Amino acid sequence: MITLAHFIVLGAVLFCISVAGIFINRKNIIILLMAIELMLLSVNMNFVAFSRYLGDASGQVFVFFILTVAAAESAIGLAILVVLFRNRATINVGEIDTLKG
Amino acid sequence: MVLFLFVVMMLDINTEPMREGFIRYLPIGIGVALVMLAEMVGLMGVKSLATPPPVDPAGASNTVWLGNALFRNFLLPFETAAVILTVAVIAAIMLTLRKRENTKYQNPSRQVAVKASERVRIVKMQSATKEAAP
Repeated sequence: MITLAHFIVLGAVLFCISVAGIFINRKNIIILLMAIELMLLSVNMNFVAFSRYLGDASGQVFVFFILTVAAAESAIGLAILVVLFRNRATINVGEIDTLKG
Repeated sequence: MVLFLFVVMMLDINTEPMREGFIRYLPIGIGVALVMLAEMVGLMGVKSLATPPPVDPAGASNTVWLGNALFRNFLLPFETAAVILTVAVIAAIMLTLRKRENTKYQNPSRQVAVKASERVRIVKMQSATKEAAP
């Protein structure tokens, strides 16, 4: 029997996988973006599970809006990435240091 | 995800220098992830969340339920989301569009607005007669 706890733990596992991805692949900015996307999806998992179990449809509607904003964000982020690659010919995070932060 | 695949295909990257440090950060990453997972699961108290199965909302399928909520109560935010997506598409295209050098392209408005005087040149010259053969 699948209970609420299964969904919550699945969301937590997905979130931890994305955190590990950010820690391990600290060079490739594409993989960093993918890991951030996976974080958003794991949060969505919690939203859907709670919405279904509490009988409130607003949670799933909220997931829809999170997906919309995530799609917009990744589209613009990847466009910025393409422009950056044309100018600098690298996507290594360590070499993108023009701002000298 | 398809977008990511396209970008990975577009950018021609040498992956060798990316892989250095992979082994070095592997234990740290996995350690942090495991500690975080243990904390989250402990914090939530998984045992207490093993609730009985949910009440079936409205007795309909999830799609019907979600569609009713989305198109009745959240119609204006739904359309706002559409506007956000449109703005994102326009922004992405404007960022990546570039005019290449050394390419020949047409300018349709100039083609339409052309006048005959720009194409045909009338040259005035003296009329000449053929020399009589001796």
